[in-house]
This record gives sequence, structure tokens and C-alpha cells, in this order.
Amino acid sequence: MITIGNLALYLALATSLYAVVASIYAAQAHRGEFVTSGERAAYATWGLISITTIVMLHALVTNDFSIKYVAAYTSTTLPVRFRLTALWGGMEGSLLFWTLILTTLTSLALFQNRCRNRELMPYVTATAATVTAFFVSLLVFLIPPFALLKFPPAEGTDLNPLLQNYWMQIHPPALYLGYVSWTIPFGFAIGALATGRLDDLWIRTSRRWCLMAWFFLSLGNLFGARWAYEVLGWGGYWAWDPVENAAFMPLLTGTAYLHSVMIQERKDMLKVWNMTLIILTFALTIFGTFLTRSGVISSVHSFTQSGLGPYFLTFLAFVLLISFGLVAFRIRELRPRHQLDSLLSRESAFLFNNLLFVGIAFATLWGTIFPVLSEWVRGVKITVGPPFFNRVNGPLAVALLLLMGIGPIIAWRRATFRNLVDNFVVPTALGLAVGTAGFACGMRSLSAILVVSFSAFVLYTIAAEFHSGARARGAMLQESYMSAILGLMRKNQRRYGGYVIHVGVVFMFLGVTMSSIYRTEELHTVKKGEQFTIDRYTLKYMDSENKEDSHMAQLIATLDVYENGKQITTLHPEKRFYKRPEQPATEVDMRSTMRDDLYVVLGSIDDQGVATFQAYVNPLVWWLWFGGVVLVIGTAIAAFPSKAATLHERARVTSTIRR
Amino acid sequence: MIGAFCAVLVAAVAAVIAMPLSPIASVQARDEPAANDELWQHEKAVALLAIAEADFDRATGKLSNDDYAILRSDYEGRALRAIGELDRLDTLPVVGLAVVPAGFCGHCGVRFKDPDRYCSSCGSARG
Repeated sequence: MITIGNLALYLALATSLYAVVASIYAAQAHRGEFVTSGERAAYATWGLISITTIVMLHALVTNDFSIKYVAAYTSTTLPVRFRLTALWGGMEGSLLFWTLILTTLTSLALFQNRCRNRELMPYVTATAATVTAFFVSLLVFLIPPFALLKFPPAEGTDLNPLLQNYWMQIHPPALYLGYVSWTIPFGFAIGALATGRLDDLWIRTSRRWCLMAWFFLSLGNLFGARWAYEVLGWGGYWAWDPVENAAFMPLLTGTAYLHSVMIQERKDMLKVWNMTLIILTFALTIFGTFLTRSGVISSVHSFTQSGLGPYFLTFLAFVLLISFGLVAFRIRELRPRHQLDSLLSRESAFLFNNLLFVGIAFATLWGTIFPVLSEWVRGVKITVGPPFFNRVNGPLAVALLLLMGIGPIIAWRRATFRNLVDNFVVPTALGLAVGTAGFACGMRSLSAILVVSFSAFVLYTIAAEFHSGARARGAMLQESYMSAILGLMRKNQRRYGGYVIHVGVVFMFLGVTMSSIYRTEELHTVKKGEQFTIDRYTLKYMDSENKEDSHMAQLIATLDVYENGKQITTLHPEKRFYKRPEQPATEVDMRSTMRDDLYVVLGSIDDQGVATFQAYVNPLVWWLWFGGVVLVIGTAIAAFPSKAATLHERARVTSTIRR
Repeated sequence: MIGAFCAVLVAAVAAVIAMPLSPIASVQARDEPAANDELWQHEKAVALLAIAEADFDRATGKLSNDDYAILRSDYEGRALRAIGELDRLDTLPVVGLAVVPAGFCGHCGVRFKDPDRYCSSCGSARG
């Protein structure tokens, strides 16, 4: 089996390199048969990497400890589901999994465009195959996944206990999908630059890929936050860890791109900017991979560190050089046909939105690499912590929230006084009223007041958009109000799906702000039968229990939770001691409601049965996760328009043209 | 057994990649569906939906009449061009054409660039 895995990997390197050469030659020499041959090589690479992955999964499940990777990341006592997810538990496996996703998506993109965009496709193939060849060459030459041990152990070291968690089964695949999917729009952008097809063809073609990449990157970040919340046991979900930042930065530039392409589609403006954003987003995905795997910055994600940093940096430099070289080559053709007419316009709102997104991305990048830069320049590593990120990014994020309300209701090109009065007076008044009510209820944090105020503003504008849209549609098509609302959702899914996403983002803003500012945290040491109080909850320590099997030992506490004298639930926070590797871990227990989360961590229980608990009450954090669910629904609406509704709309417009 | 499997794997990969370069494959390629039709269908769909959006934006007060007129005329032009191209393609036989404009592929209708010996879209040889 190992021979087959190795052979498939070596062949994958050959086929991906061939795909690069054949596709570029085909595009330059206009040789259609080489275009097809290059694409076939890309499909073959996918098949070969699939074989390699199957061989690796087989080795993991069957505990083939003759393979170094299997011995390092599994054991006979590890449940099978975690043996499978050990594929992304270490460096070699995670890069193999990454390559599998990349080649799968490349094959999908090629198949989807087998009869379309033929002029661009050789470059898309060449770009994706170049990235594939880079990753496969790392696997072949530097970190062979099937490296053998001279003396196979009887038992493996086992998977890091932090990774033996449900969220770790879905967080890395979602994040990798998000990272890797940006390769396809980047490939189309390179195709557009190389061929000179700089109209919005490449944008329209890659739109759904961008949405998919953005969606999975958002989901990956959210799953990671949830993992940190449940597993790390410090009461929070985001610590501005370098690797968290690495996944956050392409999400920011990618979101900026998704907004600014609308300006190019409508106004034929911002072509250079859009190219820059897509290149930066892709480059940041490579940079993120570099940060996770280089070990240059200490992180909670230390389980995938290695000495691959210089190779990633070289590849990143190559990507930036080629991409921006092509932009410079086409700079004349990328010049806009139109200029910005007024600062009070939707175009300006989009532009400010973009500047804020890129500003947050830059601040995050600066804070992330500052320890390394300071060490290079002054010889002293100066760490930048959460206060820096919160202080710099907080105000920018609040401004973004406000723009989320302004953007949809301000007029294109130039807002008139009438437009401003009609659209802004009521939501502004509502925002002010909600902010004042918050202050009256005891809120004293300016950030919190601004966030609730702007959230009310945004939610009102979105509701007003649905209302005015339904009225306009009803008048245009003589439909009832309810039919018009449904019609809006079905026939303009991109716009209204986007609004649903905005609603999800508002919920997330509320969850993050309130749970960060108004969190209560207390440490209590109690004997059995004693109780303690945090916020409005009373927790009574009832009992503790020891459990042990071949995989781990567990110490489980039982706490009855009371609110207003009435028992509402029982919590069981745990302390675990994994046997291979010998490592303690915390299993948080919590009671989650729309109002707040009661979050309890078991610190220790001594020989006399005295237990120490770290308890937190995190207000409104439920809305962060619920916002994620709304975001999923919104993306599904925006990404998959109803074919029947679209055809009907086309037929209606065609009749007005030919009249 | 494993050696045989490896040999088959190498041969299969080589065959899959080399097949399009053989004369047999270029005959097969000519039987693929026409690409240009899809391209113009897509262009037409995009232009029509952009017009629908502009109609809607004007009706909700997001687009002034002047801007609407500019946008509408731009997208109408694109839609009409796409419709014209589709009508033209409809009048041409698709495969093995007797009537193909000079400089266009007889199979899929894509325009040849000067040095092309094969169609960059479908791989058919230039007649």
C-alpha cells in the first residue's frame, strides 16, 4: 500500500508540472489539443492525490505504526473517528489533505468550464497546477507522508488531546476549503490579466467560487472560535492568536473584494483595486499557511509547525511578483472608464467599506508580524497582545457596522437631499433612541452603546429595504405585498441573500461586543454541598466522580444550577488526563441561552474533596453562533439563484427590450 | 500484485494525458457541444438581469433617471448584441459546416487568431 501511495504522490508531482507547462504552451501557441491535455493532467493529479489520501487514511485506521506519521498521531486506543481526522492532525497529513481539496476544486472548476471561458481556462489550469505542484513538491522532497520508522513501536504517540474534539473534526476542513477555494478566482484573475480579457467576464465566472471561499473561510473561523470556546477553557473564543489572525486577514480582504466587484460590474471602476484585492486575498491564504507551519510566531496552533517557512515565503514572493507584474503590464487597460461623482453616493460607501476592511487587515497583519519585525530590527521580541488589536480594530469595525446600514439605502452616483431625508431620518432616529435606551439601562461603555445603536440602524434599513422593494415590485408587476416579498427573495437572490448575511453579521457584532465588554468572571473554591453565586446564578457543588479507561482518566464534578431559587440545570465540568501523550485537558460545561452563557471550568479537586471552579457569565454570546447560522442561510440564498425565477425575469426584460 | 497495479496506474495516467494529442482524440473533440452558443447565452442572461436590477433600483429610488438611462442603454446594447450573435449562430450548421465565415471555427464558431492552427476552444484543426 505504501508503495502505491508514494508512487501516486510522485506521479502527481509529474502530472501537475506537466499541466503547468502544457497549459501555458497551449495558451501561447493556440494549441487546443494541449489545452485539453493540460486539463486531463489536472484531473489525473486529483485522481492520484485521492489515491495517496486513501492509502494514508487506510494506514491511520489500521494503525500501521511502521509509518512515522501514523505512529506520531494515532494510537490503538484512539477512537476511529479521530484516527480519520488525524489526517489533518500533523504537518504531512494536513498538507496532503490541503492538496486533495485543491485538486478537487481545480477539477470541479475545469469541469464546470469545459465548454465556457475557453480563452481563460489554460491560465486557470496553469495557476491551480502551479500551486498544486508547490504543495506536492513539499510532500515529495521535504515532508514525505509515508516516511518509515526503522523500529516501529507497538503503540503510537496519539493525537494531541486538544484535537480530540468534535469541532476539530469540522473546523480544519471548513477552513482549508475557505483558504484553498480562493485559488480558483485567483486563477481566473491571472487568466484575465494574461489574456487581456479585463472586462467583468472573469468576475462573473468566478463569483460563485468567491462566495464559496468566503463562506467556508467565515465558517472555518467560526468553528475555530467555537472550538476555542469549548476546549481551551478560558471563557473566550478569540484571542488574536497569530494563526487566528492568519485566517481572519484573507476573510477581510475577500469581503472587501465581494463588495467592490459590484462597483466594477455596474460602473466599470476599481479594476486595479479588484485585481489587487484578489491577489492579496490569495497571497494571504499562502501567508496564513506559512504562519501556521513556519513556527516563526508562537501560537496555540503549534501542532502543525515545521521548518517549511522559507519555502512558503519564496513561493509567496513568486506569487506576488508574477501577479503584480501582470497588473503592471496591463495597467493602461485597467484604467477606469468612470470616476467617482460624489462622496455622498453608494460608490463612495463601498469605497469606504473597502478602506476599512483593508485597514483592519493591515492592522491585523502589522500586529501579527510585529514580534518578528521587532526581533529582526532591535533584537528584542515585542509581543503585541489583544489590547492593541481591540484598540485599533474596534473603532474600524464599528465604522464598518455603520456603513453596512448606509450602503444599501444611499443612492448610486450622487445622493440628493431628498434621498438622504427619505432614507436616513427614521433609521437614524431609531439608532439614537436605542442608544439612549441602552444608556438609560445602565450601559456606560461607548463601544457598546455605539454597537447597539448602529445595529438598530442597520436592522431597520434592511427591513426598510425589504419593504420598499416589495412595494416597488408590487407596483411594477401588480403583485400583492406578500407575493412581492417572496418574489424579491426568489428573483433577486444575490441582493437579498446579501441582506440576510448582513443580519447575521449584526447578530455577531452584538454577541462579540456584549460578551467581551460585560463578561463576568469569578474563581470559587468550595467543598461538597457548598454553593457560590455568579451574576444571577447560584451553583451548588454536589459531587465528583472518577472514570478511567485505556485512553484517558476523567475527573467529573456535578454542579446544580439555580436561578431565583429554582433549579434550572445540572452541569458536569471535567478535567481529563490523556495517557498518550500524557497531557491534561479541560472539558467545559455550560448552559447557553439567548440572554447569556453560564460557563464553568473545573480547575482542580484536592484530596479533601475541595474543588476550584472558574465560572463565567458571557452575555449575548449565543447571538454570535446564531449569527453564523443566519450567515449560512444568507449565503445559500445568494449563491444558488432559482433557475425558474431567473428565466422568468429574463423573459420579462427581453420583452421590454424588443418592444 | 502491487507492481502490476503500479504499472497499470502509470500507463493509465500517461494514456489519459496523451490521448488528446493523438489524431483519434481530435476527431472526438469535434463532437463536443458548441462553446460559443453558451458564451453568448451567458452574456445575454447577465445583461438582462442587470437591466432587471436597474429597473428595480430606479423604482426604489436608488438610481436617478439619468443614471438609469445610461445603464439601461449600455446593458440593452450588450443584450441585443448577444441576441444577434445567438441568432447568427442559429443560422449556421453546427458540425462539418458548408457555410462558415472565413476566420471562424467550423465546429464551434470561435474566431481564429492569426497564428492558430487549431481552435483554441474545441481543438478542431483550422480548415
